[in-house]
Amino acid sequence: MFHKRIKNSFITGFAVIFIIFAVLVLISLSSYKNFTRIVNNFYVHPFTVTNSCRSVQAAFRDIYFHEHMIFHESGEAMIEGIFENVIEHKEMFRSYIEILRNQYLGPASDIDSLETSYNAWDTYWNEEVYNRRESLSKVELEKKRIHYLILYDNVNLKIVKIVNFADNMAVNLINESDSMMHNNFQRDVGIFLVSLFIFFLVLLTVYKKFYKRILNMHKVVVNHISSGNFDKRCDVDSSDELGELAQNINMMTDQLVGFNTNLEEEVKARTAKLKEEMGNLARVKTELEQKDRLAVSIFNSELVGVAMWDETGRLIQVNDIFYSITGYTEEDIKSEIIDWKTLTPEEHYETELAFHKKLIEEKRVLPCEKEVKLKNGNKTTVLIAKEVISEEPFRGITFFIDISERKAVEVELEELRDNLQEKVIERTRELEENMKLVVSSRTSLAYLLEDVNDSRDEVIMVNNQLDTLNKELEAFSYSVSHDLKAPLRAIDGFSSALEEDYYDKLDDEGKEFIALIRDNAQKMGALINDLLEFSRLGRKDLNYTELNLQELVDDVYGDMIVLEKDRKIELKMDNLCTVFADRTMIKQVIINLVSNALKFTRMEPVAEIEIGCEESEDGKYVEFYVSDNGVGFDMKYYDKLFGVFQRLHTDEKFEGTGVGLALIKRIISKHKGTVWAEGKSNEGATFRFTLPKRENIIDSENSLQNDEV
Amino acid sequence: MRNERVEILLVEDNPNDVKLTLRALKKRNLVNDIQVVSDGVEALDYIYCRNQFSDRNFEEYPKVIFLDLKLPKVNGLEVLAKLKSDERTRHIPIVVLTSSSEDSDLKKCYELGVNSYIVKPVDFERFVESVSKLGFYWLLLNQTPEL
Repeated sequence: MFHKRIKNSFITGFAVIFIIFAVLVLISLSSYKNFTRIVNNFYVHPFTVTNSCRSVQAAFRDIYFHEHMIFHESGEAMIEGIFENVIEHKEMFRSYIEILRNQYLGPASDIDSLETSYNAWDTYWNEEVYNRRESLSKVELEKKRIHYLILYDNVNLKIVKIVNFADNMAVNLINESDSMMHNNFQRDVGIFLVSLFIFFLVLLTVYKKFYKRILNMHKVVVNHISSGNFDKRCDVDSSDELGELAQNINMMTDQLVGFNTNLEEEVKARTAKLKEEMGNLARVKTELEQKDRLAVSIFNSELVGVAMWDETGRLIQVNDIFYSITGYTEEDIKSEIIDWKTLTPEEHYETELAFHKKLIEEKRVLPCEKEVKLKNGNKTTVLIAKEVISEEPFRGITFFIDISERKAVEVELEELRDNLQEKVIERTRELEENMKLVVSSRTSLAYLLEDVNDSRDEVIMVNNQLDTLNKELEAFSYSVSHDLKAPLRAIDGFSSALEEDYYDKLDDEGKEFIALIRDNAQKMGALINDLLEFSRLGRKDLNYTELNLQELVDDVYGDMIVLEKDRKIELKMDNLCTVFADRTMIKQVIINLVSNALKFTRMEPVAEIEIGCEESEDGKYVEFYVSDNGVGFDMKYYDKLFGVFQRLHTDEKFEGTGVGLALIKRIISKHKGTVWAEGKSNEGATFRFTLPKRENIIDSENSLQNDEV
Repeated sequence: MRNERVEILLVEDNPNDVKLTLRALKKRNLVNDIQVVSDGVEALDYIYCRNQFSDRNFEEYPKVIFLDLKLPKVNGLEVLAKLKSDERTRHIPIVVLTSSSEDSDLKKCYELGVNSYIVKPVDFERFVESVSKLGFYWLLLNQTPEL
């Protein structure tokens, strides 16, 4: 049913084209027929007719010319000659008339009428003139001639009429063919254009109806489906063959999609299965490996000696415990010289053979004690068990534990058991004595605890008081730092302004006074700063780190020596140790000690400074010292040495604020260390401090702080 | 930059320090316009255009504030906290100029977002040097966002 439509389209199309061609052919044919007719009429007939007409006319004139002569000629011979000519012409005339009759297109009566007139004229000439010519007088002849001429005119008139008709006919035909030619051209062009238009219409229809749709399908198939994109479908826009084709392509695509999906699912399922199998394999492999490892680790157990042997009793494989018990090495096993005989003392050969026989029968022998011969010839006792683990090839395995120590212990225990009784009695007596002691101690401990409780309350109270004091001190020093320095800055600032602005007006003494004011103000500033630093230390928490004293001293000394380039200084320094302390504070201590050493040796030609480090006698502390060959000090002023603002030298000699050593003492005390000095006037001084070692710091942390304030 | 814009706001209660600071800045020709207020309340009044400063344009911020910490009424730390917590004023550079070298003050100031912290030395020459360096840095070198 699909087929009919497109077939119909083709049939209709072909029919239309056929009909158009048929019409065109018919039109062309009719044109051709008309044309032939025109050509015939125009080129053949009109000329033939007019020619015939002219021939008739000429023949008629000739007849007339010759006949007419008879009216003038009198010689008989001549007349007979004329007559012959006349007859000849008359025959020609007759034949021409006959020809004309066939050709003439006008009414046949014209020709008949001409013939009648001619016959009348001819008859007249023959009977009235020619035959009676000898009997006629001239007058009569003349009369006859006039009548003859009238008849002649009559015939001539008829001929002229025919000639005119033929000429008119020719003119008409020419005009007709002209117009016909013109009309034909227009019509043919029209037909051509119409044909062309129809042809294009047909082409367009073919394109729209078939080619375009085929192209679309081609596009879908080539661009999408063949490249694996199954989303696209052909348009099914009619029920003809192409529609059917499109539907079939779509169906095929759907099937392809189905196949594809099935295939993908199949692949997925297979992949999943494969993965699962691979997972299983991997798991089995892992399990096998685990078992393998387990077996190896069991074999290599460090508790039990293991040895594997063949049917001859030769050892094939052993573990490390075997080596360590027997003293044999891996090389001994490899050289295949170790068998049951090597390991069995000769006196046990028979027992061993019986043992082996039992093993072969029962496949295993339960643990029993046995003596083994070692590599060095000694014997040791082991607990041993054997088992056959494989028949083909034969493999037996031996497990054994060295029980020589236990054996020894057993012997010892035996001995001990004998004198235990004595010891129990002795111990019981000792215990009784101790019990008496404990009872008396407990009584004294109770008194002691009471005392401790009292002391603790006291300590707590003192601590609280100290806390309050500390807080007050903090507020005080804050206010000092801010308020005490402001007036000093004003003194210094305005003195400076005075110096600058009134320089010209001041005499030398005035200038000196201003310099002194500024110097003192600045010194007081330095004092306040030192004092603040000192008080701040009391409140600061220690930040313990591992400190390399060597690095610290190098650092400090390096910085200071730059300022003392011109001096001769000999520095002796041992390799310094490491301490556990607060970096900033210990650095301050070292700065103060080194700068003091440099300061108080200033008068010496060669300054000798020694820095060292050693462990204290009890091993709990690290001792650090700096000694110099400077001015030293008198030991009777030792009490004042570490006091705040205490100075043993004048400011002119050695500048300073008197805070440096106090600061050192404070820092070292905070670290639970001690500081002291030895000196002699003009013979130098040695300053020493100790710091607890790291492992002793935790304990001291817990004890109470008893800093001096 | 508008001419009438105050370049430095100096918050200082000690008249001696005011005089010395002004002298130090003027010596180096660093300041065209400097506003001095003597306590924290006045400093905040100035910035927020209140009371005696009510005819000031709020948006003409000083280029830098030199702030003493120990001030009557409202202290320097409070002023610092207030200005640095306000979206509109937090960009103003604040230099704390104080006699106190206490660690706790220093730590607090930096926590509040101070731009510099200078301990006023007793030595006037060093004081001049510090102040003029600060003025030079904050007035000439430092770039603040245009308003």
